[in-house]
Amino acid sequence: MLISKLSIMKKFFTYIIISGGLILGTACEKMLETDLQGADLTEEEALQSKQDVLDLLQSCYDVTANVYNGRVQYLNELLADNLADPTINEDLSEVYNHNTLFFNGTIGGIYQDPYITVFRANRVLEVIEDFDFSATEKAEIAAQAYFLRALSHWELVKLFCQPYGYTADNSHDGLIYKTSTEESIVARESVASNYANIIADFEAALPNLVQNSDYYASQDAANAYLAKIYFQQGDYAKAVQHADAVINTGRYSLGNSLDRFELDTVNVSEAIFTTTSNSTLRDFRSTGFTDNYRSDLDGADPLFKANKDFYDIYAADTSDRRIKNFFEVIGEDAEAVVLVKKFNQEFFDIPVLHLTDLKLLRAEALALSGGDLSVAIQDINDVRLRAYGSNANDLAAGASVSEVRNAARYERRIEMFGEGDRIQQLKRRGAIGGEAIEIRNNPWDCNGMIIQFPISEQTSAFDLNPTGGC
Amino acid sequence: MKRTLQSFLMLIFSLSFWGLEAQVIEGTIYDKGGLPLPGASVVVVGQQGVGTSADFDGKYTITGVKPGSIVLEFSFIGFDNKRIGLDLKAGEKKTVNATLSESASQLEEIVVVGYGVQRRRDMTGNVVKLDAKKLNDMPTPSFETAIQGKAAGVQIVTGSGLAGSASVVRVRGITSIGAGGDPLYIVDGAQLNQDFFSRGNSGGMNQNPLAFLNPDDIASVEILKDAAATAIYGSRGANGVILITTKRGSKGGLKFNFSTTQGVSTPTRMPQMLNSDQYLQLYREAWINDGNTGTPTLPRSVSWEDAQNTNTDWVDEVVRTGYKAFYDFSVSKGTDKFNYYAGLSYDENRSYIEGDQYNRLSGRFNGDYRISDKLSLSMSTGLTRSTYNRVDNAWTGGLGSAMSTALPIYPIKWDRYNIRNGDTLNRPGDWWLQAGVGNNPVAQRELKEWRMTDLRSINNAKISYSPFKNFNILGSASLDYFQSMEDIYNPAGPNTTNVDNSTAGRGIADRFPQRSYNYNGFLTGSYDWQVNDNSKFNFMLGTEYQENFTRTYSMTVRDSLGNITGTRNFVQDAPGPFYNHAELRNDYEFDSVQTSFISRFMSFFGRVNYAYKGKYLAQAVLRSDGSSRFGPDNRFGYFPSVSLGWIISDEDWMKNNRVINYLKLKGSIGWIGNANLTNIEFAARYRRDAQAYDGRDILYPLNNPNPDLRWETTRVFDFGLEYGLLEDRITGEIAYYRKNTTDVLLNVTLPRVSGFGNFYDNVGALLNEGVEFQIKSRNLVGDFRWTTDFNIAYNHNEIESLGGYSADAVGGGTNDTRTVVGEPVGTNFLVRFSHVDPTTGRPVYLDIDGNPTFNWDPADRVAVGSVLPDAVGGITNTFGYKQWDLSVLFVFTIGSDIYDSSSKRQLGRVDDWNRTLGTFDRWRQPGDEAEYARLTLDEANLGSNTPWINTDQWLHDGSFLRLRNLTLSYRLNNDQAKAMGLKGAQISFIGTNLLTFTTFPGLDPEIARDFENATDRNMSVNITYLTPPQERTYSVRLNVNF
Repeated sequence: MLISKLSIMKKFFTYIIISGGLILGTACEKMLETDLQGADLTEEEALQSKQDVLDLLQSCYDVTANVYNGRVQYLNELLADNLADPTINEDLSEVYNHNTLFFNGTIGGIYQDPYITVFRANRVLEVIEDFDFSATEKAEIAAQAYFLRALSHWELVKLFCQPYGYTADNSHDGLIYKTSTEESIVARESVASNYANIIADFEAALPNLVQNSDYYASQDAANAYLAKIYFQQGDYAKAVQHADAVINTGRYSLGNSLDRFELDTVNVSEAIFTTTSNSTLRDFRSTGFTDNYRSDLDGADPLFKANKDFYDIYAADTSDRRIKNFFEVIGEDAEAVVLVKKFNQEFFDIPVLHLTDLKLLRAEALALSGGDLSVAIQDINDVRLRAYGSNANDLAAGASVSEVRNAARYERRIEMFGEGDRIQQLKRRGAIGGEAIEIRNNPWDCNGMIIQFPISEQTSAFDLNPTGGC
Repeated sequence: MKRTLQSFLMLIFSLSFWGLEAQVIEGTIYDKGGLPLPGASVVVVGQQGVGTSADFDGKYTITGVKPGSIVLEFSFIGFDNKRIGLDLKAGEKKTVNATLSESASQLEEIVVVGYGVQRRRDMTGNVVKLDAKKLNDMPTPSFETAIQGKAAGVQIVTGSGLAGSASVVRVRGITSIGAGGDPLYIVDGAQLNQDFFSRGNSGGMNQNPLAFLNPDDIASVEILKDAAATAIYGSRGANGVILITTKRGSKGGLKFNFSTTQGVSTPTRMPQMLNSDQYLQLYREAWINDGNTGTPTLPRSVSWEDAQNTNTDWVDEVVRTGYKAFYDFSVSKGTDKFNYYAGLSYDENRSYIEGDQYNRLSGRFNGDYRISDKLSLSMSTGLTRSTYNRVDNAWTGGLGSAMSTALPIYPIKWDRYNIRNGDTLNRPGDWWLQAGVGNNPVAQRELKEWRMTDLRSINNAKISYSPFKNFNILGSASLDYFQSMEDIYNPAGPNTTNVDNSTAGRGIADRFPQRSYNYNGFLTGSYDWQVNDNSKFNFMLGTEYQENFTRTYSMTVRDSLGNITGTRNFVQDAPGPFYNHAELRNDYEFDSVQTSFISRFMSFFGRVNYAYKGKYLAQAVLRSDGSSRFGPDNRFGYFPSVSLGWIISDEDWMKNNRVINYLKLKGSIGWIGNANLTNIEFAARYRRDAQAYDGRDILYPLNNPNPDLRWETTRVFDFGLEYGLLEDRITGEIAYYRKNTTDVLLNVTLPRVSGFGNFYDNVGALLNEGVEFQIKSRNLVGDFRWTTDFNIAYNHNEIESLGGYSADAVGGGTNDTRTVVGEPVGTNFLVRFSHVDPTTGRPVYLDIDGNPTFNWDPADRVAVGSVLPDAVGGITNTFGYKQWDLSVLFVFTIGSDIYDSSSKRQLGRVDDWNRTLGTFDRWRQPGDEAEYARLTLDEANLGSNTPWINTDQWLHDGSFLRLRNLTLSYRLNNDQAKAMGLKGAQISFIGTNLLTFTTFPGLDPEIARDFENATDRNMSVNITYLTPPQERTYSVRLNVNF
C-alpha cells in the first residue's frame, strides 16, 4: 500500500519535474518568444525588400518635415528681433530672452529630431549593400541619405553652436557629426569640422541626385543648401556659384503671390525644396506655424506676434503690399500688438528653399564680393516688383555696393519673416563682416545667442554650452 | 423569497442534505466577555463531517450526531480550541454553551501563502494577514487604501480625491527605478493585470486598476514581505506579494447579509485662492514694481475694467459635496459537501469634484464542491461593471485650473455680445472661452462628455486530488479579463470649443476600446511526511504558465478605392457620445486590432518545509522563471531562498517564564527578481506607418535594442522576532531586513544624438534596509474592552551605484527628482533657496558651493530634503462596551518632505496663474523680511531667465498625523434583533480623514500625483502638482444578517 502511494507520488513529482525541465529546456524556449506588440516588427522582419529600404528612407523625410513644420524656424526667429516675447510659453520665452536652460523640453525635441533623421539615414547607408539595388539606384539612395544627413546637422549647428567665423580657425565647439548608428560617448567636434562634413555630404550627394523634385532631395536643393552654407561661411563667390546653378536653370520664378505659404507648393513657382501637407489624409506639417501665429481664429491671441520695432521699420512704407498682407495691428499706442497674417491657413506646404532666398542671397553676395551688381540689382528689383506691384520702388541701375547690400538685407528681412533667416544673417554679419551687431541689446556672440543642449547630452566627453545666457 | 433562493441554490448543487438523525446538540459560543462569536466552528470529534458553525448570534445546532460518549471541539480564528465531553443518548437534545479564550498570538491561524496555506506558528516568512473586519471598517474607493496604517512596512499613499485614482503601495521600500515597483496582486490564485497606465496619464490621473474589487467580498488579505514568503513567486516577488482571498460559504445554514453605506464627502482642505480684487491689486503691485506705469496689461487681453467687474470663484464652481452610496447583498451556505458564497454589490461614488463619479456594479460567486474525500473542485468568479464619468483635473483642468490658470477675472459666460469685424462671435450666455476652454473649467466640464466603461472578470477554477493521505495535487486555471471603453464627445458649432464645424459637424465622438487578457495556470503536488514524532516534512513542487496581452481596437479607414489608408478612433458629425447613440455603435465597426503588452512566463518551483519537534523550523524554496521580456541569453532566472525558525518559548527552560509565553526567532535569505518591463527592449523594433508622409508608407526603428537586458535581482535578508507576553495580552513582531538590488533596470535617458530618447539597461545597485515593529496590546478585557494595535516602520533607501550614468540620466516624469548615488530613489535635485533679500526683495539662492547668489542657475542643483520618511505607521485603538464599539485609527508619516510643484507658480512670478493666500507674506518695501520675494512680472527680477523655477523653497516638511478612521458601532443584541426578525444587525457611524496634524502648507500632505510611467511612479511619490486633496467622508453603515 505504502509502496503504491509512494509510486504515485513519485510519478507525479516526476511529471512536474519533467514539465519543469521542459520549460527550462530549449524545447519550450519557443513559447517564450512572443510577437512584438501591435504592428511592431523586428529588424529582420522589417527590412526584407528594396521597398523596405526606400520606406526607411521615406521616414527620414517624414521627420524632416516635422523639423521644418515651423519649429526650427521659430526657434531661430525667437533669437532674433522679428518677434515679440512669447511670455506665456516658458520654453520659448527662454529662447527669446537669450538664456535657454538645459531642461527646456521644446529644445530637447528640436535637438533630437534631426538626429532621428541622421540615425535612419545612416541605417539606410549601412544596410543598402544587403539589397539588390542597381548601382544607379544605390548611388541615388545614398545621395538622398547624405543630403538628409547634411541638412539635419546644418539646421542644428546654426542653433546650437556659435557661427562660422566666431573664432578665426573655427575651432570652437560644434556638434557631433554622426556618420554611423553605433553608440559611443564622444566629444563635440569643431564648427570647422562640422561645416566640412556638411559640405562634403552635400557635394557627395550632388552628382547622384535627380535634377529637381518638389518634396525630395534634388540637385537644385543641394545647390541651394550649398549656396546658403557658403554664404554663411562668407565664401560669397561659391555662394553665388551655387545660387546660379539653381537660378539659371530657369525652373523657378517668383510668381505673383506675396505669400509663398500655400497649400500646394507645386503651384508656388519659386519653391525649390518643400515639405508637404496632405489635405486628404489631414496630415498637416505646418503646425509649428499654424498653432502659434494665426491671427484669424476666434479670440485670437497667438503665441507669436511681430516685434513692434520691426514692424515700424517697414510700416512707414505704405506702398509695400507685404505689410498689409503679412501683418495686422490691434490696439493702440502702447497696447498695440502686431499680429501675423502670413500663416493664416489651416495648413500649408513649407517652402524650405525658394527663389526669393537665393536671389537676395546672390544679390548680397555679389555686392559683398565685388560681383556683377547689375545681376544683384535685378534680383532685388524682381523681389520688389512682386512686393509693390510696380517698378516704382526699384533700386536704381547705378546703385552703390552698400545700397545693393542694404537693399538685399532690407528685402530679406521682411520677405523671410517667420522663416528663421534673420538671426543667421545677423550672426554672419557679426562673425564674418565684423559688424558690432546687437540683437535686442545683446551682442551677437554672447552665450545666450546659441541654444543650450538638453541635459541628456551631458556626458564625460560632451560639454554643454556655457550657462547663464547673455 | 429566502426559501425559494435556498431551493434554487440547492438545485444548482444537486445535493440532498436533509437526511438527518434525531440527536441534536445546540448552544451558543461566547468569548470571555460574554459576546457571541459568530462563525465559530464546532465539530464532533471522531464523527467525520458532523459539525457546524455558529450564526450571527453565536448560536449553533448540530444534527445527525451519533449517540454515545462524544467530544465537541469548538474553534475560532484567534481563539484557543476548546473540547467539551458529554454523553448523548439516542433521540436526546442537549444544550452545550462554550466560552472560548482569545489567543491573541493567533498561532493557529491559517495563513495563505504562495501556492498553499500554512499555520502561522509553522511559518518562517514574514506575512501580515488582515481579515475582513480590518478591511471593511471604513468606506474606501478601493480595498488597498484600507490597508493603510495596519501593516508594518507597507506604505500606502492613497491617490487624490478623484473617485477612480490609483494609490501607491510600497512594501518595504522601493527596490526598482525603471521597472514597476508595485507588489504583485493575486486574487484567489489569479494573478491580476495591474496596469496603472492602461489609459496613460489622462485628465491628470492614473486610473486605479484595483478599484474593481468589492471590499465586502474580501475575506482576507495577506501581504508577503520577505524572501521566505515571496521567493516562491520568483521574478515577480521583489516588490512583495499581496494575496487576496474572497469570501466563501462557511458551514451552517443559509446566511443572508445586507449592508449599505451612505456618506458625504468634502476635500480634506479647500484650496484658498485670490479673489478678483486681490488678484488685480497684486498684479498692479507687480506692474509698478517692474517700473511700469499706467493701466497694467492683463493676461489674455482682458481689460482692466472687465476684470474689475468679474469675480469668479472657480474653486466653488468645481467643488461640491460628494456623495457615496454602497449596497452589498450576499448569501452563503456551507455543508460538508459543498459551500458557496454569492454576492452582489453596487457602489456609487460621487467625489467632491463636480462631474467626477465612479459607479461599480459587481457580482461574485465562489463555490467549493467535495466530490469525494479525495477529489474536490473550487471556483471563484467575480464580474464587475464600472462606469466612470471623468472630468479633467490637475494640470489638465477642473480643480487644477481653479487653482491655477482659471483667473477670478475670467467670467464663466459672456454677459454681452462679442462682435468683431461686424460678426457676432458670442452672445450673452455663451461660454467665455477667450482664455481657452482649459481656463474655464465649468465650460470644459459641460462641453466634454467623457466616460470610462469597464468590465472586469476574475475567474479561477481549482481541482484538488488527494490519491492518498497527505498527498495532494492541485491544478488551478485563472483568467483575468478586462474590457475597457473610453468615450469622449466634444460638440462643435457656435458656443463650443470647436466653432469651425466644417469638418466636425455636430461634434466629434471618440471611442477607445481595449481588452486585456491574463491567463494563468499552475499545477502543484504537495506531500506531508511525518517521519516520526519529532520530524515533519512538507514537500511542494509546481509548474506555472502565465500569458497576458492587451488588444486595442480602431476603425479601419479606406480611401475611395477601398484601400486601407489608416485607422481612427473618432467619428465626425456625431450627435453625441457612442454610449448614448446606438446608431454610432451600429454604424461604425472597430475592426482594426492591435495587440500589445504581450508577456509570457513559464516557471518551475519547489518548496520544502521541515519542522523538528514543532519548534525548529526550516524552509527552502527555489523558483525558476522564464520570461519573454528577455533575449535568448537571459531568458531564465533562478530565485532561491532559505529560512529558519526557532520557537524559543517551546524550550523547556522557557516554558515556565511568567512574562514571555511565546517567542519565535526567524531569519531568511533569498534572491527575488523583477521583470516588470512593459515591452520588449532587447530586440530592435520597427514600425510601418501607411501613407505617413506625402501619402507614402514609412518604416522606422523604434528603439535602441539592448540584447543584454536581464532580470533585476534583489537579495533579501530578513530577521524577525515574534513575541507573546503575559499570556498573550501583548503580542507582536519585530523585524529587520536588508534588500540589495543589483542589475537595476533603468530607463536611461540617452543622449539625443543617438536618435532615441531612452534605453533600458541593467545598471547600478540599490539598497533598502529597515526595521519594523508591531505590537498589539489588549489593555482591558471584560465588559469594557480596549485593544491597541500599533505599528511603525523605518526604511532606508539608497542608490549605491548608477553604473556611470549621471544624476540627470534618469528623471521622474515631469518632476525635478533624480537618481543620485548615495541618495534615495527620486531625490529632489534643486537649487537651494536661502531667503528674500530685505533690501531688494529678490530671492537669494545658494550656488553649488553654498555661497549666496541672486542668480538662479540649474547648474547649482544639489540633492536636498528627505524623500523618504523616517517612519510610517499607524495606531488603532478599539474600545468596546456591551453593544458599542469604537475604533480609532491614526496613521502617521514622520520626516519626509513634499515638493509642492504648483507653488512655484502660485507663489512665484506673477503671471496668468491665480495665487494662493500665502502670497500676502511678500516683500513690499526695503527692510521687509518676507517669506516670498517681491511681486514681479519679469523673472529677471527673480534672478532667472525662465519664468517658473524649481527651488527648495517649495520643498516642505510633509510629516503628518491623520485621524484616518473613526468608527462608532452599535450592534443589536439578540432580543432586539429577533424582535425585528433578524439574526443580527449593526449600525456604524464612520468618519475618515477627520483630522490632520501637519505643518505642510499645501493642500494635503498625503498625496500621490498623476504619474507618467513606472519610473515616475517610483521616483515622484513626494511631488504634488495641482493634485486634488483627498476626501474627508462622513458615513453611516448598516449591516443586517437574516
